[in-house]
Amino acid sequence: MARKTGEEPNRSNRAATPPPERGVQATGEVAGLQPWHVLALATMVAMTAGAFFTTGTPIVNVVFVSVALATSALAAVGLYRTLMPLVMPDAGEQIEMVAGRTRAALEREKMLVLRSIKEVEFDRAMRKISDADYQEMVGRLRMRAAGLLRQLDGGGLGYRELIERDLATRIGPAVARAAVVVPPPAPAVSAGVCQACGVDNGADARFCGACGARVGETS
Amino acid sequence: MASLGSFLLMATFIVFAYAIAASLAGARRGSRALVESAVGAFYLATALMVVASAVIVQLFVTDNYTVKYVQRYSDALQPMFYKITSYWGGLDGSIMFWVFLLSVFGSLAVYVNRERHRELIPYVVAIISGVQMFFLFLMIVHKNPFETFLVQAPQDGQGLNPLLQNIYMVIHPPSLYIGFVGMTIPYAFAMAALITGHTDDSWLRAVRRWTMVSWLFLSLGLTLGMIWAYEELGWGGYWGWDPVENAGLLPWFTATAFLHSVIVQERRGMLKVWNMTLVITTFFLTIFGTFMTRSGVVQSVHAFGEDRALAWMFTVFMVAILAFSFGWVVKRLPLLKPRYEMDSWLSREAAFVANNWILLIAAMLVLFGTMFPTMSEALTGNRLTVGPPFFNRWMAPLGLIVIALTGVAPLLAWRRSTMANLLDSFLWPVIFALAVSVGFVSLGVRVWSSGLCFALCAFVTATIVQEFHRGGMVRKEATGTDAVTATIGLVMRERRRYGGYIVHLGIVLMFLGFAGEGFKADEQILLKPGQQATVRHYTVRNDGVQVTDDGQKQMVTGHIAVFEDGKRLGTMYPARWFFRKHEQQPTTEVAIRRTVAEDLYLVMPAYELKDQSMSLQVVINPLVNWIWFGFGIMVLGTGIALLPERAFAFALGNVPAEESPS
Repeated sequence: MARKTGEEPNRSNRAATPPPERGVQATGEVAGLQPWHVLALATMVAMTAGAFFTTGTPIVNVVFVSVALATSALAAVGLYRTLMPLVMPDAGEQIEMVAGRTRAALEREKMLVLRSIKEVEFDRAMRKISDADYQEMVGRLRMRAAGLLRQLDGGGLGYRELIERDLATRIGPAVARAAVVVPPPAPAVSAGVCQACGVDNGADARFCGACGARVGETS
Repeated sequence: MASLGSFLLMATFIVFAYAIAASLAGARRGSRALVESAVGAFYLATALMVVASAVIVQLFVTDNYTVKYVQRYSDALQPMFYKITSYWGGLDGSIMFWVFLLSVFGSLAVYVNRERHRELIPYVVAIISGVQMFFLFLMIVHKNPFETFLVQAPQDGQGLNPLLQNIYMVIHPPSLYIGFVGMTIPYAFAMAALITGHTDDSWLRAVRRWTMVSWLFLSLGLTLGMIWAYEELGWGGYWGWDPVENAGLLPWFTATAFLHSVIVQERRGMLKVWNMTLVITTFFLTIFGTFMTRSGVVQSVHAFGEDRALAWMFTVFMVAILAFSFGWVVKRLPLLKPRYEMDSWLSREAAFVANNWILLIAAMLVLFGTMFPTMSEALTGNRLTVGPPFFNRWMAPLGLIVIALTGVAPLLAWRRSTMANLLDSFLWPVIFALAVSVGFVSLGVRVWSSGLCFALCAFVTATIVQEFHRGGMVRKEATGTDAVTATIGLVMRERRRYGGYIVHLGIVLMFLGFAGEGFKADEQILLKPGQQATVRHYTVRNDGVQVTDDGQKQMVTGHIAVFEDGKRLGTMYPARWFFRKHEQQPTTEVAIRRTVAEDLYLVMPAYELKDQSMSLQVVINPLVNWIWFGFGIMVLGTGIALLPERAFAFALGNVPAEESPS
């Protein structure tokens, strides 16, 4: 079902969406019937009526009428999804794009690349790959992961801004800004060494492989 | 109601045509509205097929014999359960069931991937819709399941073939269809990747789970077919290399190769052309298998019958698939160049390439053997049969090579293996395999092929145990947890790898079961009442023949007392059932006594009621139950490989940076 105005605001429009007033649902959704609510209700009423009118007939008739009405409702949904984009092209699902690709695609690729890094590390621990090949493979994967993270961070809204907006819609803008704690400046450390847990992640690392924290700049 | 069904088929055809037009136009023009509308049309077509399926089931359940398909495959006495499952009992309904399943799967695939693979979705919708239009065209113009009698309809139906009134035959077709139909999804994504030029491994990620689920259902369908043949057909075996059996096996080979080959592309950016070829070939073989069983080009007890017009339509479609698919592969060859070349034949990449070749050769061999009678008749006018001896002779060595690769490939290193690698990885599994071989040879087991099979099974089992042990130790050192938690965490973190090892273990067990065929006993004996006979360590005695009737069928049951080494085990009841309206096609009801080591299998092919004598076939099948048990292990392994990310998160924990074991 296409998302309508008033449902959870999509990420690309968060800048234009003011935080809701007190008394509005914390999720940000506007109360009220949506088209799919109406359709579901109508289908249930029709199925109940169908079961009532076929009372006394063999059970197979009751089942069939119920199934027929439910599947007809599915067909109605399909017809709606077919025609609505042609009639209202802008009413469809808003999908956030980052650097020409959907955010979901980039997030998934990031997850898969990070998983591949773990697999290569495991292969090395199991002696299925030489050290030289390990360095080459994991270096290539890390560069790819770093590129994806840069795209995700800078291509649309950064994670900090997204979190602030989410909090603003739930608890109010002033409280949200206060809730987003700015971390103290990191002390000077060697490149690649994580300030939080002390693990050396290599000079090209931007995030720690052990605890996930951002790795400090070069001393 | 039948008219409604026909109307729904035509409406679905038109909706799919719109989906193709809108998706391609939307993709070319960059119009999101058109693409969204096309996706909506796809969902609409799915809903219409659901309605059509509900209509046909209603026709069966209400015994509406004005519809020819219902009259042909149902009757008033048929149990309700089999009335419903008669939906896919005949050719027309099976095609409609195919369209229904593909609609549902296609909708799910499009919905799940609508954001992650947005650039591919228009072409995925177009490809799947095109396939659907072909099958709908078949139904509308030639094999309409809603066709009615023009004159007065019969009062009762002919009933479903008694051989199909069996629980395995109810599950087997849907399972096989899910496997066949599911392979359309990876094909659609592959073609979309070729057309859009996004030939990196992102399309592989989209289809990996689909392919695995389809492969699992294909395996389930094949195994259920084997169980059905074993328990229903009564010839003592489970696989006869029947053309219809082979039709299901062909895409299984290439799908198995594809599932392994994608690992190389993901890890090393190699074998891109192989992967495209395998996914196209797998899809093609699903259509080819459907063609074989429905056109009459092969003769089989399982086939739906002969239909020349259908054969021609399928031929045109298959030629179009090959031309379209490989045309795009050739066009995109520059984009399919490997990132790296193979560094060494002693590498995991080389093992996967060998695996691809072996499985492809196996598929081509089975295809050749299956089609040879048809080709010989077309060329020479004489139909030369190709039976089990041909297939067994060539498939046995290929199967042994596959088992060997199952053990060897996981032990080899990526890029190149050094002598130190090889010694470290192969030492204990080889020692174990040699010890097992010596043991079996000393017991008198022939080296070829059973002895070799046992040795290779031992080798593979040892490699799997070694992988679990070493991986567990690595994780135990890294996490500081206990061995059990470390092993669970290992499996859950490396689900695809270790789920795959469990699947390999299942394959090993199945091969053990296959090897038991070499030690089979099969004798046919004539027994008068009270007379007994001995086959190996079993003695059977004829205690009489009884006739009973349950309204739907007459049952002639033999009472056989069974003894093992003089000790009475019980009574077994082989039988023959004669269904009303199918008296000329009695079913054989086999009596089976199952143990872990072997089955005692009794069939009563003939009997004489007057003097209570009978002909009895006594078969002893060693290790056969390891086939079914091995399949269960395969399902477990596949399930683990398919688990979602957060399963068993308690065992994953926080893992410090990996360190090599000292």
